[in-house]
Amino acid sequence: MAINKKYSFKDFLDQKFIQVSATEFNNSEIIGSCFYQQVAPDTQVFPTGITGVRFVRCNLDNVLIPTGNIIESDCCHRKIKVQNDLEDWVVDNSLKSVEPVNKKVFEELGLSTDAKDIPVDFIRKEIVVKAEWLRTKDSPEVTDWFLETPRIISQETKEGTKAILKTKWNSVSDKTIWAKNFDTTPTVTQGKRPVNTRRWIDKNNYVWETTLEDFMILKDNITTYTIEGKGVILIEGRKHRPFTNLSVTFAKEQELRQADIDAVKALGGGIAERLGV
Amino acid sequence: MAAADMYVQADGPHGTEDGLSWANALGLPEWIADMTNNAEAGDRYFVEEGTYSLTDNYAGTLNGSTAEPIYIISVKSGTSNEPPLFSDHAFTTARPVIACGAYTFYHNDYWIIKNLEITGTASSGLIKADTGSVLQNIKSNNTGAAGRIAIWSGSTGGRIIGCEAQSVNGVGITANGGNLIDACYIHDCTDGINFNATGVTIVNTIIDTCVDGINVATRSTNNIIGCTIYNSTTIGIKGSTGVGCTILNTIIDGCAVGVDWTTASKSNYFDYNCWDNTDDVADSDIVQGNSKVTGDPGMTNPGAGDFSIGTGSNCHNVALDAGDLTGATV
Repeated sequence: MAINKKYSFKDFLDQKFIQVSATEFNNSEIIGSCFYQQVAPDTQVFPTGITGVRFVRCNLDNVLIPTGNIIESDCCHRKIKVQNDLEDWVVDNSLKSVEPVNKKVFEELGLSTDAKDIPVDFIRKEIVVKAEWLRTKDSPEVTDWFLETPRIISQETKEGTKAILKTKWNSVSDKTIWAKNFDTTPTVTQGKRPVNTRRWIDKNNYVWETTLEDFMILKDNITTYTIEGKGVILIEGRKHRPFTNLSVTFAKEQELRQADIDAVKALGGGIAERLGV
Repeated sequence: MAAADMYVQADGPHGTEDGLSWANALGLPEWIADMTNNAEAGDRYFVEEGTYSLTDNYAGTLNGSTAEPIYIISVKSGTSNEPPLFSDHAFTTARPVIACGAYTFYHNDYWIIKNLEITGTASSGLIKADTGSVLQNIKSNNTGAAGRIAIWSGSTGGRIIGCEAQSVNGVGITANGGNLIDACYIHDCTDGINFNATGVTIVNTIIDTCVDGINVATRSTNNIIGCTIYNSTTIGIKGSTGVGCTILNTIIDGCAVGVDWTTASKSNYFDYNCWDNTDDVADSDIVQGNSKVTGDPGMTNPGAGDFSIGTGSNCHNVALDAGDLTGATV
């Protein structure tokens, strides 16, 4: 069987060829390529009607391969889905989690590889600026990512001050760009602050000069909220909305690292300081 | 058994399949098996340009040594020298691609890995530099879900040199204790660099168009020197409770906020930096230093990836250098 050079030894991660003619694939051997689709198992990648394709040493995870084609034993053809612990799990035909894709890392970290220990829901946690939150909380950029109205679980308020060089202030017509994170419209006063500038004596030498320049001083409170609620991890085709949750492996690794730091500190004798922990 | 030079080709194995010459090169499965079972201090794997698609995790447990690391060095297509010369080494588009899919390409201690491109979606990093290891001229792109990492500096003393990292929904590089990140280009990430421990040093590195450029978080005594942080859509350098950090000779330009700390500490030392952001600092306890420069650094074309500055720049010749040290004779 002829080797399909166009589609062999290539990286086709998350790419689809549904619109390509099946004749480009039929009755050929595809070797050593990655066709993995990260969003969901049984994703159609190849055009309808491909037949007689023999896949050798390929990554076909989450790829729908119709009958009439051969998947050699040195390929991988798992069903994989990200779960509520933010890790990829191998799932069965009914999309039930079986084991983590990176089982060895789980075992090294002492994490459970039993699917029953995966959280039932993904609780999305974010830190948002109150002013921004009030502007956007009912918009799709927020509501598309939460399955319920998120709760404000804590908040922190501190006084914020911004100083903008008056010449810069005057050069911009929309001055709200500096005020948008304050809780309310900030007070605006004018004051002088030192600014260092260089005065070139010649092309190789300069001196620093300090002058007092006019600044516009904005002042008001800035409140940040920590919000949480049932949410979604990813939406296909959308740049993800950041959250503060850590994947279970990363969180465990940080926890273990903190335990090491605490153990070093407990030794005393300035060891921790010398090591910079 | 003595250390050996081994040869790997994407369409291998060939000939006797012992990997001891190009004619008998290993293929990917044989290469993985050899690294897993036989790699020893001083071994060198020369990997020819091509695409190598993983079908499972590779997590090697064999170590090089402080005297004799184990090497992976990638070379251009058609290389025939045995061993290859430096002129055979692969750069830019000639680098082999390790297509990880959902899997990882992890090595253990004292490995030096050069000249690879890595793609995938794994959560805890596509590739890592463990104790005493070096990643050099590696391009890693993680296109996975939220929080996924392009390069994980896995353990103490890992060095990441001249690498490129991208993770559109996650982290470019996660740095651990005592790591060095030097001359890297990190771009289009949610977090460009996350500190996971203390004693990290970042030098000569560009962090371009990330949501947050560098996240110091709670980590202390880290150093950011001679870097450029450009166009962070939220914060250039952010921290929560980290103290004792040093930020010197760095351009922070075009960010919504240059530097912000949840609980700022004056023990974080900033000076000889150039600031030109919508909002340079968001806390009065962030002290910019007496030798700060403000205003446009005049980079040549940062939007097109040219971050160079000319002799007329605001930032030219203003960095702290040995000549500024009182009492030193230079």
